[in-house]
Amino acid sequence: MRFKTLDRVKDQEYETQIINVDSDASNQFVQSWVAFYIMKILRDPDFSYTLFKWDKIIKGSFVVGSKYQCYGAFTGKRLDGLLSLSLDDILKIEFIATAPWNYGENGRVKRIGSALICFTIQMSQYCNRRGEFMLNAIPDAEKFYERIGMQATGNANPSGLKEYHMSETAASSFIKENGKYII
Amino acid sequence: MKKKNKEKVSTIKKDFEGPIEAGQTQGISLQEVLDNYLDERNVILSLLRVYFDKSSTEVASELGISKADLEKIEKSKDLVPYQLVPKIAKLFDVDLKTLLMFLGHANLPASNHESDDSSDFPLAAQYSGPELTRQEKIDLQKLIAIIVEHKQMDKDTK
Repeated sequence: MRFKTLDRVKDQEYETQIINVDSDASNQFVQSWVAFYIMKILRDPDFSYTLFKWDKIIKGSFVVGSKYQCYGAFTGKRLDGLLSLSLDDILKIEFIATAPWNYGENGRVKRIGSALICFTIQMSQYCNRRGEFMLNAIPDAEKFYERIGMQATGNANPSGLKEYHMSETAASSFIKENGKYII
Repeated sequence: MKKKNKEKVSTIKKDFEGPIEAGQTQGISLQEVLDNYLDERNVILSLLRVYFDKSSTEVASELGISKADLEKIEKSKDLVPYQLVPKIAKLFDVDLKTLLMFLGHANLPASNHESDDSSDFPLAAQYSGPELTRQEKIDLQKLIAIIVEHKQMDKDTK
């Protein structure tokens, strides 16, 4: 899927492509995401970005028979976002994140999250799951998922992260609202 | 012009999504980030140099040491001499306290979540508190006091 994202530094729209990742994405994660994260924390100790072990998540998706699929949002060659999905009775976002430089109000590239959510909805529709999916949100991200129409199920995972459900109706509304950015 | 700027700000605000991170865990602690992704803590010095586009010669000169010494420190497993740390923080405009922790001179604050590798622990066992323990705070303060003292000594001997 291709999506119009906005680089707020250059004040210009770019095309971000969401595709299956290969081992290079794991390298990019360590070399760019982790290095940026360390530098950012050194300059701004309050930087509250949540870093997942994407190198392991990506490598785990390469295991034969794995139910996990990993996708990257690439703007040119730059890895701007990552998404890990699993499919059982329902599609589940196992992990999702924008790159640390896109995080927060002063982040560089906007709409990466929307692009990854649109992609997930399309995957769900493609797998006959009607656009529905589940995820467990970190506390800082709960508002985002509530704002896009997801509902807390009342359950939480072993890490204490609240489970959210995207209904067919909410998925349709999200696509309707963000369809203008899909290329 | 002003109107254009206003429009730009409003587009950016509109496009701001907020954090989207979701997952099976609460992410990696800083300690894990440093332990897992850096060969040695002193690699941070090289990272800073690279990030701020400075040569070894420039950095060594600004720190008042030889280039050979800087390269030795960057590759060493030993702690960066702590009298150099405030100079490094100033040179790269980074937070001194955080730099001290990252370089291993002080303990990082205890993580408030479990390791990414132990998501099957019961929730009660995962919480270790977000604040420094008393012992850690004292260690850190002692260290900062020593550094301030050394800084003062540097000034006095100039």
